[in-house]
Amino acid sequence: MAKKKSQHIEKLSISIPLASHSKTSCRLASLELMIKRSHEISEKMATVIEHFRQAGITVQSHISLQLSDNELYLKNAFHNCSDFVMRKIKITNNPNYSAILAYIDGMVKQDLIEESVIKKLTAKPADATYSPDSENYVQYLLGIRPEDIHEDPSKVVESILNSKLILLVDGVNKGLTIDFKNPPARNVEQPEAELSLRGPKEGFTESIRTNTCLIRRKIKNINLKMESHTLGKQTKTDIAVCYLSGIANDKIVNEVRMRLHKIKIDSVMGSNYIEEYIQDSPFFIFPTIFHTEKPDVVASKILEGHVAIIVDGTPVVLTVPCLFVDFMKTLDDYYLKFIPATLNRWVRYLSFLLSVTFAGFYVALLTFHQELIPDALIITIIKSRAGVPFPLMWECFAMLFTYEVLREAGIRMPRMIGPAVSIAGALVIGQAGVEAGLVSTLTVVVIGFTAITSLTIPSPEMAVSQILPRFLLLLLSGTLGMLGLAGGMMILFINMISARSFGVPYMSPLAPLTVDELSDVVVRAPLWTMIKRSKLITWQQSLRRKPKSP
Amino acid sequence: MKKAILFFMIIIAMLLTIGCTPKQEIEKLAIIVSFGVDRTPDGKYMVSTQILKGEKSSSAGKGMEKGEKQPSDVMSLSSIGDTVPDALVHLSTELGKKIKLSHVKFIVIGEDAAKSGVGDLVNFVAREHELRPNIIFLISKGKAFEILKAITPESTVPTNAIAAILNLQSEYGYIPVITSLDFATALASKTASPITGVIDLHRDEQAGTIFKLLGTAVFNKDKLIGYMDEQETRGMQWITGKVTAGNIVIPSPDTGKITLDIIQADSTLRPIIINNKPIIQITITEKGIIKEMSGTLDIMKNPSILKELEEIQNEAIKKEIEKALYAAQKTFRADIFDFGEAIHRDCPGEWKTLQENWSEIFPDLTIEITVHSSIPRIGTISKPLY
Repeated sequence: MAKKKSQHIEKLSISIPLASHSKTSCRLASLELMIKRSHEISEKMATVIEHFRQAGITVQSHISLQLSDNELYLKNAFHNCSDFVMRKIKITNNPNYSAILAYIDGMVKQDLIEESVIKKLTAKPADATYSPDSENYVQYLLGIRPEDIHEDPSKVVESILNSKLILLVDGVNKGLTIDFKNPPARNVEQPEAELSLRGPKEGFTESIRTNTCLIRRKIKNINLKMESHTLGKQTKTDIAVCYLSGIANDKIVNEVRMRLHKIKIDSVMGSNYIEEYIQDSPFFIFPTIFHTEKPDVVASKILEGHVAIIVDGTPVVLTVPCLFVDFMKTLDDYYLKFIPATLNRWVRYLSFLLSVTFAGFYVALLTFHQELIPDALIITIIKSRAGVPFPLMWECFAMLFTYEVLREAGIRMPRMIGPAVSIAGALVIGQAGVEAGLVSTLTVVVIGFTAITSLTIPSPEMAVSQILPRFLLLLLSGTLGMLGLAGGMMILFINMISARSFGVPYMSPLAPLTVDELSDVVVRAPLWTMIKRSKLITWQQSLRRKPKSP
Repeated sequence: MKKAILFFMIIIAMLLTIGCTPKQEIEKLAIIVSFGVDRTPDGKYMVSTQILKGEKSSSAGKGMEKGEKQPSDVMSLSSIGDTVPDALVHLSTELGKKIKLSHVKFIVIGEDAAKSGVGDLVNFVAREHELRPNIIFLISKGKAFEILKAITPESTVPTNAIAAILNLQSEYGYIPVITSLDFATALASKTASPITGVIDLHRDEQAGTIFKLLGTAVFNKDKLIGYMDEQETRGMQWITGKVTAGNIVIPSPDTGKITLDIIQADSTLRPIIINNKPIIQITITEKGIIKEMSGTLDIMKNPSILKELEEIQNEAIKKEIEKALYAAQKTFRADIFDFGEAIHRDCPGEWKTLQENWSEIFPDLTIEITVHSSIPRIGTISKPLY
C-alpha cells in the first residue's frame, strides 16, 4: 500500500519538474482555506442577490443625505405595490425642510400618524429653530429609540414590511422607525378546539404581540424571557421562544435555539411548519410537541419549566419538551376538586386504551377466541351477527372508515350543513345499515363506543394520532387474533417507550418509572402537596414553594 | 434499519406461533350449550345437543301476542356414533356448522348410559381442551334426550334455566353440584365413590314442562348403583359444608312446627384414630333465624326458649346427616363423602393399612356428629299473634 503511494508521487513530480514540497503544501493550504470559506462566500453572494431582488433596480448601500435619492430608492423597491404609501411633509411648515413618511396602508394606526407625527412635525418649534443637519430634533421630538434608527436601506424596507412607519428627513442619512403597528387582528376569543369547563375562556390569536401579552399577563415576572427569532425566507415570520429562566433547563432552551437556527425554510404558515423541523423523530406516530391555543395552559407549562414557541400568524403555541402523559392531562383537572379530577383522568387513560384496542379486541374475540365470550353474551352476539354478509374484520374496518369520513367531513363543512351530515351518518349508516342487515348492531355499538372514547382525549393532535394504531391493531387482530393484538400493542409500546422529546423520555414518568412524579400522573394529587416541580423537565431539584417546616 | 429488521422479526415470529386456531366467524359456529348422552340398544352412543340458534327471533321489536309461545333460541339435534366424540362429529351430517364445545355448561347422562358405565365419557371430557373442567354432570332418570328436547317457559335457552337452578342449589343443597373435575377426582380415587345430581322432567298443566333437580345419583366406580332422596342429599351436603341457605323445619316444643331460615353454616371434618380404628368427627356450626312459628311461645318474655329451640335444631340437623350416613354406609356401602381422603390427609401412616380393606371398614365406620346451632334473631314479632 505504502509503496504504491510513493510511486504515485514520483510520477507526479516527473510531470511537473518544478514542483516542490513546500510549494505544493502552500497551494494546498490556500485551497483548503478557500473551501472552508466557500460557505461564507456563498452566503455573502446570496445576501447580495437577495438585496438585488428586494431593492429592484437601484442599489444603495447607505441611506443618502439627499431625500430625492431615498425617495427614488423606496419607489423602486416598492414598485407595483399599491398598498405602499409615501407622504411628503414640510418640517415646521418650512418649504426648505422636507421629509417623507412611508408605510404600508392599513398596517399602521392612521389617526396616530395624523395626530402625533404630522401635527408635531409641522408645528412651529417653541424657541429653538430647526437645523437640517440635526437628526436629533426629530428623534427627540418623537422619542425614537436609537435602535430604531437605521442606516441600512434594506433594514428600512424590512421595517416598512414589518408594518412600521418610516420617517426620512432631508439632510439626514438615517431612516427613523416609528412603531405604530396596527395590523388587522382578531379579538381574543374562546378557542373552539379546546373548551374548558371552569378555566379561563380566552385563547391565543394570530398576532404574536397579543399572544406574548396574554402570557405576560399571567406571569408577571422578569424571569419570563421572550427571545425573538425570524424564520422563513419569504415570509420573515416572527417567532418568540418563551421560558422562565432559572426554572427552565438551559440545555433544553439551548437545544430549542439550536434547532430553530438550523431551520432553512421558505415560508412559515403555521406552528406545524416549525414543529416538523424541530421534532425528535418525525416518523413517530404520536406527537412529541405539545400544542395549545390557551394562554393558561402555556403559562402553566412555562411555570413547570417547559419552553414555549410562539409563531406569528397562528393561534397555536408549541411547548417542549412534551411527555405522553401531558396529553392525558388537562388544565381543567386543576380547576376541579382533586377527587373528581382524578376520576376524570382515569376515564381518559382508560378511554385512550379502549380507543386504540377495543375494536381489535372485539374482532379477535369473535373470530378467534369464542371460548372467551361470557355465556350471557354469546346468544346476543350470535343473534346480532346472524345474516351479516361480511367477515367481522371488514365490517369493523368499513364502520371505522365511515366514522373517519364523517369526522373529517364534520370538521370542514359549513355550520348549516352540519345537521344534514349527522342525520345521514346516524340514520343511513347506523339504523338503515343495521336494518338492511349490512352491519350487526353490536358492531355499531362497539365502533360508536370507540369513536366516543377517542373524543375524551383533550388534545386534538393526540386524538387524530390514535387513528393509525387503531386501524393497524384491528387488522392485526383480525388476521392473527389476540396474538396479533398483543404483538401489535407490544410494538406500539416499544415504539412509545423508545421515543424522546427534547431529551426527555416520552413515556416518563411511567417508563422509566419515577415514583416521585406519579402523584400528578396516576392521580391528581391535591395542590397543597405538589411542592416539587417535575425533575424530568427541569433536570434539577426545583421547588414550587418552601415546604412547611415541621 | 435495525428497527425495521426487528419489526419484521416480531411479525414473522407471530406468524409462526399463531398455533392451530383458524379464523372462524362466530355465526358459522354451532355453539353447543349442553348435551346429553344415551346408550342405544345396540351399544352405540346417542348424543343429543342444544345448539344456539343464530337467526333473529321474528318477534323482536314487536309486541308479543298474548298466549303466543316464546320462540326458543336453541335447537335440539341428536346423532349416533360409536363413541361420544364420534357422535358429535356425526352432527356435521345434519348441520353445516363446526361445533364449538367451549360453552357447554352441563352434560346429562341417561340412566341406561350411567348404568353401563360413564368412564369413557369422563375420559373424553377431561381430554378435550374445549370442554372446561367445571362442566356439571347430571343424571336423568329417563332418557337424556328428553331433557335436552324439552322447552321450558322460563327461558328461551333451557340450558340457562337449568344452570340457574344449579347455581341456586349450590347454596341450598337439595342437589349436589358435581363438576366433571369432582367426578373425575372421585373416580380416580381408590376408595371414594362418585356422585352426581339428578335431573327430572315435571309436567305442569299450566306452565308446561319444568325441570326438577332433586336428589343424588350414587356410583360404584363408573356405574350407577342407586339414588338418594331429598333429605339424604341435604344430609350429605351438610357434611361437605355446601349448605349455606335454605330452611329447616323443626317440631315446636309447644305445638305445631317452626321454620328456621339458615343464614350461615359451616362444617369441619376431623378423622382421629383410636386403637387402630378410625373415627370421623363432624362438627357443624349453623345459624338460623325464625321465619315462622306457631303456638304460644313468647321468646321476648322467656329467652331461655331459644336454648330449647337450638337443641331441637341441633337434633334436626343431626337427623338429616344420620340419614345420609345410613344411606351411604348401609344401603350403598359407598364412600360418597370421601372420608378416605380425609384420613389419608390427616393420618397418612395409618391410611396405608386401612386403604386395603376400606370397603369393609367404611360401612361400620364410627362417625361422631356434633352440631352447634344458634338462633341469633327471631324476626319482627315475638310471640305468634293468635
